[in-house]
Amino acid sequence: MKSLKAIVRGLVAALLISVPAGALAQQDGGVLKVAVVSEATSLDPITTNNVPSSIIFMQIHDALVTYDEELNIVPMLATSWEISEDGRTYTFQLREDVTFHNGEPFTASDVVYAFTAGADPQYQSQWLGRFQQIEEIEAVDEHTVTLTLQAPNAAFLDQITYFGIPSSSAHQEKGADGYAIAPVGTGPFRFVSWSRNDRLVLERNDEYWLTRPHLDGVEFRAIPERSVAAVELETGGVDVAMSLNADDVLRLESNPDVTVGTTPTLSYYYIAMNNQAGPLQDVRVRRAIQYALPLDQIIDTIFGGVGAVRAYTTMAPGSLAYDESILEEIPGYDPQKALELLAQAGYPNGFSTTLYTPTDSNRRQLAELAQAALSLVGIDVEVRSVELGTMLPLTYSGEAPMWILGWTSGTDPNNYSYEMFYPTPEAWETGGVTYNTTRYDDPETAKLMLDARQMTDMEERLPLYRQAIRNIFVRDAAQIAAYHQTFNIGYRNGVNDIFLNRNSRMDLVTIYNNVWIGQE
Amino acid sequence: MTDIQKGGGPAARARTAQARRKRRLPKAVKRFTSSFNAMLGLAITVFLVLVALFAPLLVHENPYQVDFSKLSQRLEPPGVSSWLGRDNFGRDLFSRIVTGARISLLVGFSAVAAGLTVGSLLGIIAGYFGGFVDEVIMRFNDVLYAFPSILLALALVAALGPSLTNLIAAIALVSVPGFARIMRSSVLQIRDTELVESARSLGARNLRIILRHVLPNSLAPTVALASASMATALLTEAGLSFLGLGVQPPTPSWGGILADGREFLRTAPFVTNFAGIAILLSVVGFNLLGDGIRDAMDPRSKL
Repeated sequence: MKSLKAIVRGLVAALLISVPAGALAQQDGGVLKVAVVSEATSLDPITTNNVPSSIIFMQIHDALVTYDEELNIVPMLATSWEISEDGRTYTFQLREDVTFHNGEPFTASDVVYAFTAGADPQYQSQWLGRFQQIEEIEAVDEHTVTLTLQAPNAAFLDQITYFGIPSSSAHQEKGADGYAIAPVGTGPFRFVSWSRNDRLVLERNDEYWLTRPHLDGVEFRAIPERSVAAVELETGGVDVAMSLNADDVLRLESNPDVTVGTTPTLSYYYIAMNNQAGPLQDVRVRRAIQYALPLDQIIDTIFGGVGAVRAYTTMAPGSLAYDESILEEIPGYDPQKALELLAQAGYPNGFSTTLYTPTDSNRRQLAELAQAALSLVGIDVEVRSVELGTMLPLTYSGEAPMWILGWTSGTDPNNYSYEMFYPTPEAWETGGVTYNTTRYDDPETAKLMLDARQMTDMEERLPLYRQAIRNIFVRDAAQIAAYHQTFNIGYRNGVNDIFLNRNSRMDLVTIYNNVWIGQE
Repeated sequence: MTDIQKGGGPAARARTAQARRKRRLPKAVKRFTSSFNAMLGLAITVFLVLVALFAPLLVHENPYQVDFSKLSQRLEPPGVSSWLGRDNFGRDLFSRIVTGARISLLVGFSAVAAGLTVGSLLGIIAGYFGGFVDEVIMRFNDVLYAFPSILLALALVAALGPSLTNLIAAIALVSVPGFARIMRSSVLQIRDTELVESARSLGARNLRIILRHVLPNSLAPTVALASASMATALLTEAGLSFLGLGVQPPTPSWGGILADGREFLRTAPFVTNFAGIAILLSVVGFNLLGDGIRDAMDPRSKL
């Protein structure tokens, strides 16, 4: 049943590709110059799973499955798949006409290699947390792979949509470090060169199995100052600026040479609290903080109504488990109530704490405004603006009492609940890597999320997730939801068919678009 | 007999040298006051110090605390309600820059005072005792000198963690080698002169010789360097605060205001402009003052 649906989707996708080919006056040629906010850390999809790297290596590689325009999961390198009765075993049929950039054919052994290496602790892969659930993976024949999970996970396909498959021979030959700077994939663009802190250059893969990319190539430049990227866009230094400040959006909208594309995303930014240490252990204190923050006003100040929308929970408006009825149950701004709760909790004169924030302007502003608001109820906050690499270990070890982070992880509600709030006592004990840095530990909620993960029917899963989210944010005030970022991208006239998807990514060549440069 | 009377004994010679120094002072003051640049530097510096001292009286809005009722006035351009406009949190920029003067001068003065004390002490010890002691102190000094000062301060603050005390300590350390060198060369110039020999032959102890003869002689170059170091210290403070390693929010500092304003450079340039002007003015002021003092005290020397 599932596989039939997948085949139909594949056919639909194939039709979609062939339609635009001659319909419009699209032209080939041109190199697209793109300003990104952060430098990639590595181009090896096996070891790396962060957005700045992924948006680049997914131009070079393809995954087994991908999203369509509505973020449904559709075939990519896998033409179809079958899921066993117990929900644990996936059988993927692979495309037979695909070759890597080095000319070698794409086969089942490449897939087996990629997943095996990603789960191998020696690579310290950022996928490790997800791939540890894989019990077994094997190649049945040249173009068939079976993959067995330890327990059913309805979100599994959603979790591998950005897992690119490298050439196993190239990866073995170069090692993870060598491959990170010279990747060989099956994607629309081949890797040409990368000089760090300058530019990363890709060229068209003429043999791309899906379609022929219109662009001759793509050049990525990391420009961390968003206001500088906006100026580069205006002067024509770049064709696309991937992330814009709210103030620049408003200004650029009146520029006739530039188009501003906007899409709400599923991303979630939050003020985290360690639920197991200090005054923040007490739910009354955490709720007092919810009451003390005028979040509507804060988000509006930072993002000017165009950069983000206020968040109430992890679930963004339009996501599957979004629940409007929860909004009014989240405490609104009421400093008097905050003071009462603090007094009840035994802190009538407040307390001192530290709030860590990454160095980007948006989150620094959030930290400073939170500091100002909390000082009015007697909570003395020291703001520390540090690099992500410094901050994450402090959240793993439990040393950081409060911090600001962002999270974006596909579309499945599992990734916005279970992954962030399912207890991981082992990692807490050792200070190891965990996504549940909040140290939220509630057996009832954990069971809801685990049950939902193991069910296949989304309609049955959703009420469980909604209840879990209600427990986390309303009953336990475990985290302060701050905002869902709006993806604002600016591009110069003459850049056509750009698609912004709700995972904060700009698509260049996919089953539904193929960017080209030229006047229509 | 005549010889001794004319040139004087050791004691007389020491007295003559002191008298000559005293006569030099009015001339120096005259030279200083007749130099436009020097007086301009003095005026700017005095102005800044007065602003810093009386900051609490000048400030008419809380420069630290965000007033949530004023958030909607964020990035309001200069006008009647706020002379220099408002920052991205709706805080009055004038109040923040005036308070920032206090912070900047506090950092500058403390750092230079500490650097001067430690540096001079090291320079005196190295110069006066010479030999192995000199060698060790001055090579350590050379190591400090080898780093560009902002880089060294940056590394120190990054390692120690950003805070006001660490900031002062880092800037102080960076200014140590300059003072050590100046003091050492002053000591060397005078150590083997007849003046010091006479004092010693009269039974003066090391400490007395240093206090009475060596220190006064190195006063001019040290004061000039101190003023120039103030300028460097202010610039380093602004640089580190700009990078987020200096004074932490919500405490205002010029570098911090500049850094926060940069995101709004195209829409609200006045934020960065006024912070930049404050930094420029103070650095120019202290530099001119330093140059003026140096030229006045010793017209031949160039630092």
